[in-house]
Amino acid sequence: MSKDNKHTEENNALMANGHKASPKEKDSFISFIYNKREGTFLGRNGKSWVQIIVFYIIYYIFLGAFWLGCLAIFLSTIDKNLPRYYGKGTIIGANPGVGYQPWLKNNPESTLIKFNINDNTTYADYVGVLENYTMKYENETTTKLTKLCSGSESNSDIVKDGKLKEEGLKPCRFKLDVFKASGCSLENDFGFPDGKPCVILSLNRLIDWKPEDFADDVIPKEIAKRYKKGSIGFNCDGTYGPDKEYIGKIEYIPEAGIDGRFYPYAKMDNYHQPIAMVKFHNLPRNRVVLVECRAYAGNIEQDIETRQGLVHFELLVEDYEVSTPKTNGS
Amino acid sequence: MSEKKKKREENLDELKKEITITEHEVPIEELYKSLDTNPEKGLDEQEASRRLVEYGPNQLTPPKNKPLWFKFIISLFEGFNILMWIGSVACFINFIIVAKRTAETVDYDTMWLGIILAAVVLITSIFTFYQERKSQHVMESFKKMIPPKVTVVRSQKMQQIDAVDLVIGDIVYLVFGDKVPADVRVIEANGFKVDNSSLTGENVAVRRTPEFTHKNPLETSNLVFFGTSVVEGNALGIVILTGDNTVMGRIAGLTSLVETNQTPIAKEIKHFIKMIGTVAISLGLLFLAISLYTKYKSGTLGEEWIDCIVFFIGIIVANVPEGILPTITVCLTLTAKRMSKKNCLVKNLEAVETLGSTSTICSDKTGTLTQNRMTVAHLWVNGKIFDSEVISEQPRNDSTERLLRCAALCSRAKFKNEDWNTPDSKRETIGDASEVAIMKFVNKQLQPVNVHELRERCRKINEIPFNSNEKYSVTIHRKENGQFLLLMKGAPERILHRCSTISIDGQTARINELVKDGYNVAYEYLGGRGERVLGFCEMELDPVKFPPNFKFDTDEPNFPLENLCFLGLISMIDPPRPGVPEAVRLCQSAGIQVVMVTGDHPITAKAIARQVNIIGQPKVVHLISLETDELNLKQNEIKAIVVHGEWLNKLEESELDFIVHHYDQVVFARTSPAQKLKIVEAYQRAGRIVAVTGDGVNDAPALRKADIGIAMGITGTEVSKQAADMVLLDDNFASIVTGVEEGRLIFDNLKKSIAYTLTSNIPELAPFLTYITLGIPLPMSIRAILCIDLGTDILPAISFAYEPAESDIMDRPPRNPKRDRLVNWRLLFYSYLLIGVFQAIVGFSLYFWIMAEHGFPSYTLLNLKDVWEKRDLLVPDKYNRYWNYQDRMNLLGVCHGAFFYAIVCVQWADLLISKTRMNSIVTQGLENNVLNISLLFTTLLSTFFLFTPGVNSILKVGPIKLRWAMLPVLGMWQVFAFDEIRRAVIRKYPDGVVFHTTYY
Repeated sequence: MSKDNKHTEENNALMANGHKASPKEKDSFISFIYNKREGTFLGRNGKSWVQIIVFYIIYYIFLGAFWLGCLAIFLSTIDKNLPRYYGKGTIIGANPGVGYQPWLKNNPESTLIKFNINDNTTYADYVGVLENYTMKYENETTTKLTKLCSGSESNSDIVKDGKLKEEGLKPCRFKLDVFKASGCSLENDFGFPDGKPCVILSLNRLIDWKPEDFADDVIPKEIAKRYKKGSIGFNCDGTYGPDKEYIGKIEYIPEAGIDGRFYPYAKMDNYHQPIAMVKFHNLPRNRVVLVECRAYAGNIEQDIETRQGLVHFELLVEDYEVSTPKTNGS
Repeated sequence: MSEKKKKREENLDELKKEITITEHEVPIEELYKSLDTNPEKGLDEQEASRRLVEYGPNQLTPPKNKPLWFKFIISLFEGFNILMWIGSVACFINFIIVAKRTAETVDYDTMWLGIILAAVVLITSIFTFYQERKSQHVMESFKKMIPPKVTVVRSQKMQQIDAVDLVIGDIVYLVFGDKVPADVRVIEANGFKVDNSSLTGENVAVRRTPEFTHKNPLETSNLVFFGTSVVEGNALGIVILTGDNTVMGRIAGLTSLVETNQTPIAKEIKHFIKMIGTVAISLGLLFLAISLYTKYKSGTLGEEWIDCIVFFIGIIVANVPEGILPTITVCLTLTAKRMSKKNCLVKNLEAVETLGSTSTICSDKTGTLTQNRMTVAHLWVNGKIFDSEVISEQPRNDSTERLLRCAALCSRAKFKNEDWNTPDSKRETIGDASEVAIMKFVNKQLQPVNVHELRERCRKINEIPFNSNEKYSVTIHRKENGQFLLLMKGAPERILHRCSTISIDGQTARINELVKDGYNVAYEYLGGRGERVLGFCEMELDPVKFPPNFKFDTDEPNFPLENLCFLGLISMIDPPRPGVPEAVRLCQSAGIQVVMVTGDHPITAKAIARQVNIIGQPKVVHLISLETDELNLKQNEIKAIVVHGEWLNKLEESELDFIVHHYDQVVFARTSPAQKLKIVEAYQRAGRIVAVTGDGVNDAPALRKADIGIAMGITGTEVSKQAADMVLLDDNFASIVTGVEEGRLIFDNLKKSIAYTLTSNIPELAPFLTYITLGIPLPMSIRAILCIDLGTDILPAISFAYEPAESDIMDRPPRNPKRDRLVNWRLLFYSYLLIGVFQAIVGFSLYFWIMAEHGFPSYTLLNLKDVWEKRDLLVPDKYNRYWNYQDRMNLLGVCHGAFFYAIVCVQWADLLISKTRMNSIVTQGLENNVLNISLLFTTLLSTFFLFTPGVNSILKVGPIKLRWAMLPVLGMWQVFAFDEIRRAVIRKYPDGVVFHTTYY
């Protein structure tokens, strides 16, 4: 009997060992990240981690070096003055988009031009933007790098296959005189105080693009009266029916739009981006007008979906007395 | 809730105890009284219907099946699905946060991602559910749907009723061929024998009489049990227990109480989720900290902290490998299909892999390892032992003929019909297994005469049936010449005792010591082989003393029963199935221990165990049974043991654990169902993954407790099939080996598949990280990511299910569930940091190149994203061209397309390198045609995505130029070559740094 007991005890001890071991290996999340007993972090000990880190450092150095080298070789094949892809069939395409100014960089989401004619603080920002934008055309240092073009002179003379024919050739200078003459200059704060704001319209710069003329019989009726061959015509109108009613008289400066002699564009030091302006003469007061301006040339297509060849913005001219803050209780 | 659980445990403990019934002990009159019935009248109808209401119908309540929709809902939240749901919910949160902040234009991509994640879960769950239902249906086709009838005495009339309507106190009449309809105490019996194998697993017909012989209800002579079958005679009995209260019902009830373990693959997936979760959250937190810091520095933390949260969630979502769930599901399904072709029907998809991890198989003997068909194995005649297979080639003499004649005539077994053309093995028979075996054997040996003709010639005049006291049976026949022939068969020692002469070589000789020695050697030899031995003898009765009109009286024998002539011995065994010994060997070489658990006698069990290689031939076997009370466990050199069931009952749990730990070759004999459960638990405690085979109702609890329960398709009871995870359609143990092989293969292949799928996670995640930290326009969109994860990556990942093994998977031990994980850190490191980063670099190179070619060199891209994404802003490039929003998005679409293509391309290489973990692709070959086709498929699909008008605009990926396509091809070759070198290094230095850092 006693002999039996002894065996049992022995066995119990034997078993107990096996038993104790198993609950300890409980797969708890903490011990899985850091196992104190075995000194392992995420299942590896210190030496193993060092090995692995060294291995990966070497691996990444080789890998990185190889691919950076590859990339450097690829990039060196790209001309710094001529993009690999431009014109028809590329993503940027050969159909320019239209841009407008003033457009506030600190509120880029908004395309609303809103001001109170009685409060100069409400339009100071717009005037500032326009001033900035037009300044480069009259800047002494930059105008030196351009030349006055007349007659048949144009940028085509200095650009070939999307590139300047040679370094140092000067592009045509764009003059602002015509805008000043029509009351769109800093002198009258671009017409904002009178509620007759001027808005700049321009085309996206596309390499190797220049306007093509409309054949005589297909000139769109919107610009037929003002159209001049070699130019890009503009026409603005209300976006929807009511806007069209309220928009009032629009003056285009110059009448024919942008002169085609400033095209084509190529990467150069001092390209003068040609612009046109529209002046809204009798906008309604305290009412938003949605405006759509379209550019017209033989090779511009307008597409509302992709916003090619046109631009949308909103105008709100307010007219109410600015009440100077008064103390209550008087 | 906890109380409920406690109660459940109590119930379980109670059920684990042996059955206690007392109805068989009380005198029969008392029982009539207490049950208010008597054998002549029976119950009256009203009382019967009252009791039917009180005790319920006489049938086993099927385990409470949860409604289908409930099961489905549960399955929606299991395993990998959880990760997907978290991802999905995170997407919606992100979407709502972003949508609330930006009023004008809302990017619906995150919302769609959330919807798609949820959809993937739904679709794969439906798929899994459908598959499992399908195998369920296959099983249901096994059901034999004939409602059994039973003859009862009610209201003084004998009548047939449905067995379901039987109640306690009913008087039932049982004849051979019936299934016992309830637990019944025998009142009257005529040569009544039952086969208790469905309860005990022991396939022997046992006699049942009205006498109370044993306290143990299973041993006593006067009880028969629900579900067993009557093989001989008839009896009248009184129902003492019905339905779930029967012994069988309690076992079935035990089954539903046993809690099942999580499958190994489910554990692996849980572990995998944990790892992915760790990576996702730590990456998320890291970048949350970075973005918070930069916002803090730029002083915009106040307004924009919510952006950081959005990024944080975004990173977590980006870590969810969308494709893994469908991949795993489909891989398992494909393997399940393949297995069912090889006769392993898998009920539960996850169980497919379980067999592969199995380290211990507890196998039934009867029907699984053996054929469940008693067969004559040997004859001892003319002083020699003959194998039954070769006896017909031996020269016959008169002695042999007499033995065969005796065996043919002294028998109650019969063929059911007279169709002598069908082979014997297929004919239906009546009688107990031994007699049938002998009859079939003799019938073959007697050709051209058959048993029936011989019996016609020598008509049976009278007989003394077998009884357990005398252990013999006698028949008296009249030969054609009118002479009487007395034949006797029975326990060899009793038969020999009654003989004075022996027939050898056609001569009759006196039995002397020499003959007795020869007999003893033969008897011990046959008995030692686990064979059931019967002795035969005869006497030609003197026609003078016994004239043709002599009346034989069997109650008071008026004829000699001694000084007979001994003819020989015939031994029978239920032989091993062909192929089983080899299969067991194969299991052992695969490191799987095969343990026999049987209700049979230890000697028989041991003999069969030796024959099927469970016990190695040369080894000494430690036999512990009641006789060897002393457990001498210190004999370490002995690794084989046969444990007797009654002895097992006395064992402490720790002692059983010792047996389980110490012995390699174990046979449990004479085990009860409760013990089977105990044995399984002991092996599970030892950290084994246990497979259990079984067919009887008694096996159901163990089947359920096992990591994988394997039921028998042909002989298995419905209850056992319900409890099992897998069904062997051909009942053959050898099929299990196929299952093991498939299970191991799928584990390896899932590993490869996951390594492949996870890799593309990095090139998908990295663009988002650079977008956040460097502010470059997003190089890779959610749509393109989904195109990879749920498009081009899916078929290749699935094709791994068809990948042949790298080396002989049956030559290595089963995986250690604690160490050999499905996904480990090495795999994650390898996939993410080695190949994944490689892929990301290729993708980024292409992105920067394309951007540069369009006028945006890398340095101009830094922190460009805010401006880039403004719809009404024009962005100047290096050439001072102005890009409007649409053009920018088109350019980005091309970049996304290119990045997508780059990943597809390097995933090509990844697919090829993931085929092997160690070998070179040259050794492995390209024989996996599904994988080869999947390569073609990804190519076509990516082309379809990129270049089909309409499709590419929906996916927002632009068509790419051939010149760009060349760069990822370079990367592809590099990945391929790099990994071939890496594996070559691993093969060269199997314990080197490269192995330790990169071998998964």
